[in-house]
Amino acid sequence: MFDDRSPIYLQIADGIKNDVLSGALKEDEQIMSTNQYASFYQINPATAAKGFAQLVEEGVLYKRRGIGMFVSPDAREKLRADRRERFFAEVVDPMLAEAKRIGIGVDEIVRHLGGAR
Amino acid sequence: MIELHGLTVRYGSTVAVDDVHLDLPTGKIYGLLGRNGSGKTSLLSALASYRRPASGTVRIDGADAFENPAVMRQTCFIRDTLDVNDSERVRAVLCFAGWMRPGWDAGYAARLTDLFELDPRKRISALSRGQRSALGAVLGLAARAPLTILDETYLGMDAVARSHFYRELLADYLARPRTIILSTHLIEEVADILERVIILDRGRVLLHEEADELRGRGVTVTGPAEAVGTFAGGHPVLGERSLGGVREVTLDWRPEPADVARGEAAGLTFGPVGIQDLFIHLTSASQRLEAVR
Amino acid sequence: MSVHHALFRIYRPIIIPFAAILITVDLVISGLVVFGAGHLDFSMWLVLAGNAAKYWLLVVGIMLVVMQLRQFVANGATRHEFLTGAAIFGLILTAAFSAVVVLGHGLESVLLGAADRRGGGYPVLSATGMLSEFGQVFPEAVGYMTSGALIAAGFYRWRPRIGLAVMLGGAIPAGVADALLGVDEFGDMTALLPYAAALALSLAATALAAWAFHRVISDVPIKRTAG
Repeated sequence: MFDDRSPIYLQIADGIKNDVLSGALKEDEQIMSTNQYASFYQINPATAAKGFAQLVEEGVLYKRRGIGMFVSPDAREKLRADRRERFFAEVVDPMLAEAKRIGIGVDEIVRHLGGAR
Repeated sequence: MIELHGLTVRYGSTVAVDDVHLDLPTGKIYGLLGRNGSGKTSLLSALASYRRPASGTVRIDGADAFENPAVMRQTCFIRDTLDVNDSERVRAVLCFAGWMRPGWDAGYAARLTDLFELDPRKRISALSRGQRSALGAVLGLAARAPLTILDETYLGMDAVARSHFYRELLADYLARPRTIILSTHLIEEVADILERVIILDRGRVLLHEEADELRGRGVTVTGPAEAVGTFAGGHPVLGERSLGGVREVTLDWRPEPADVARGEAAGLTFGPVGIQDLFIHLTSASQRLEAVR
Repeated sequence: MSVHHALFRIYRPIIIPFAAILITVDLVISGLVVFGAGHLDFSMWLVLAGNAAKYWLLVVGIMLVVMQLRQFVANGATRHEFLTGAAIFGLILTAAFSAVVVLGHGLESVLLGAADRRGGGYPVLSATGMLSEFGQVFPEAVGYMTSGALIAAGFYRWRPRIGLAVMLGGAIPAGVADALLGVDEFGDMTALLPYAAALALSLAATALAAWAFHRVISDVPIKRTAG
C-alpha cells in the first residue's frame, strides 16, 4: 500500500486527494476516522492523523467536532485548479525534455496527441 | 512523560548504556532499534527497574522509577526469558499474571492464547522458541500496562504469528492507548505501526525521531562519478560505492523536487532509502563519512 | 493480590501433598517398628517431621529467591514488596510447620500411650511440654528458612566464589539454632545454654542474616537466566 519513497502521511494525503479528484469521495462526505484508517491500513494512528491534519490545513477536509472529518465542498475544484497549474511544469515539461533528449520534435508530439483526441 | 537522564548501565568495566538522555512522551508506540550489543536490553532493564542504573535517573510521570510500587505496577517488561519457571504450565503463568496485574484481561488473554495456538496445558519447558515468544506477547498485551515494554517478543515466531502479533498490538493500542516500546531487529515489519523510532548505537542514542520522517529521509544518487560528487557536495554521506565511472552515494538528505530535477538534468538517477537501509547505513559506518567531493 | 497471598496460592499445591506423604510415611514406619519391636523407644514423628520440616523450609527459602523473586518483579511487584510478602509468608509457614511438628508429637504420644506401646526412652509430651517444644522448633525453623534465603541470594547476586563466602555466613542461623535449640528424637533439647539465652542468640543470628538478605536483594538486578 505505502512505499518507502516518502512519509506515509504524505502518501495518505495524496491518496485522499486522488479520491476526491476522481469523485470516489464526494463533497461533504465523511471520511474514515483516524483509528479506522490506522486499523485498516495497519499504520500508527498518529501517522494517519498527520495526513488528515495536512489535508485540513490545505482545505481539502474540514473537521466537525465530535463527529469526524468531511470533504470540503470546494475541495475538488481547488485540487483541480492546483493540479492544472502544476500539470505543465510537472508533466509536460519533463516530457518535452525527454523528447528533446531522444530527438522527438514537438510537431511529432502534437501529431501523436492529435490522434488521442 | 518518561525521562531518562544521564542513564548509564555498567557490567563491571563494560559500559552497556552510556549517558543516555531521552524524553519520551507517553501514549505512543516506540521502536527501539540497534545492532546486537548496542545496549537495547540494558536500557530497557533500567527503564523497567529490573536493574538499578550505575548512574543517572529514570523518571516516569515525574516519579523516580526504581523500587517505586506505583510505577512498577504500571510497567510490564517482557524479555526473551519471560521470567517464568520452566516447570510451570502456560495456564499457571497466565493465572499468576491475573493475580498480580491490576489491568489483566483474562478473556483477552484466552483469545490471544487461542490465536497463537498455544496449549495452556503445556509446560514452559516444552514450548518452542516461537511459542515462548507468543506467550510473551499474550503476557505483554493482556496485562494492559500503561508502560508495556516488549524486548524482541517475536523471536522464533513464524511470519503468520508475527503478523497476528502486530495486528493485535495495533488493535489493542487503538482501543486502549498506552506507551508501548518495541525493541526489534525486524524494522521493515513494524515500521508502519511505530510512531517514533530510537536508534541506539554502542550504548548511545544515535537518533530519536518520528518513524514516518525516516521514510524518504535519505536518497541514493547514481550517475557519472564527477556529477554525483558535485551534486552530493555538502550533504552527509551515509555510504557509497562505485563501478567503473559510475558512482552511487547514499545521502542523509531529502532533496526538494527542484534538486531532483536539477540532478536528473545532469544525468543522475535518484532512488529511495528505506528505513531498514537507513538504519544499516547509520549504524554500520565505523565512522561517519564526511561529505565528499 | 498481595505477595503473601500469591505465595500461599503458589505453595498450596506443594504443601498439601508434602504433608500427606510425611504423615503416610510416619504411620507406615511407626506401625512397622511397633509391630516388630512391640513398642516405640523414640518419637518417629520428631525424626521424620522434625527434620523434614527444617530442611523443606530451607529449600523454600532457596526457592523464594531462585524461582519466585523474578516472577513477582516481572508481574509488577517491587523487590521491597516481595521481601515483605516473603517475610509474612515465611513466618506464617514456619509457625504452621512448627505447630504441626509439635501437635503431631503430642498426638503420637497420646496414641502410643493409649495403646501402651511407649518404650522407656519415648519422650512423653505434656501440654506444657508442647509449648516449650514449640518455643524451640519455631525459632529453629525460622533460622533454617532464613539460611536458605540468604545462601540463595548470595549465589543469585554474585559469582559462585562470592556466593560461597556468603553461603558460610548464610549457614549461621541454621547452625546456631541447631546447636542451641535443636530437639532430638528423644525430645531432649541441647541444653548448652539456658533457654532464654539460647533463644536470644538464635534470634540474633537469624535477624542478622535476615538483614543481610534484605541488603542483598533490595536492589539486586533481576537476572536474565531462565529456570
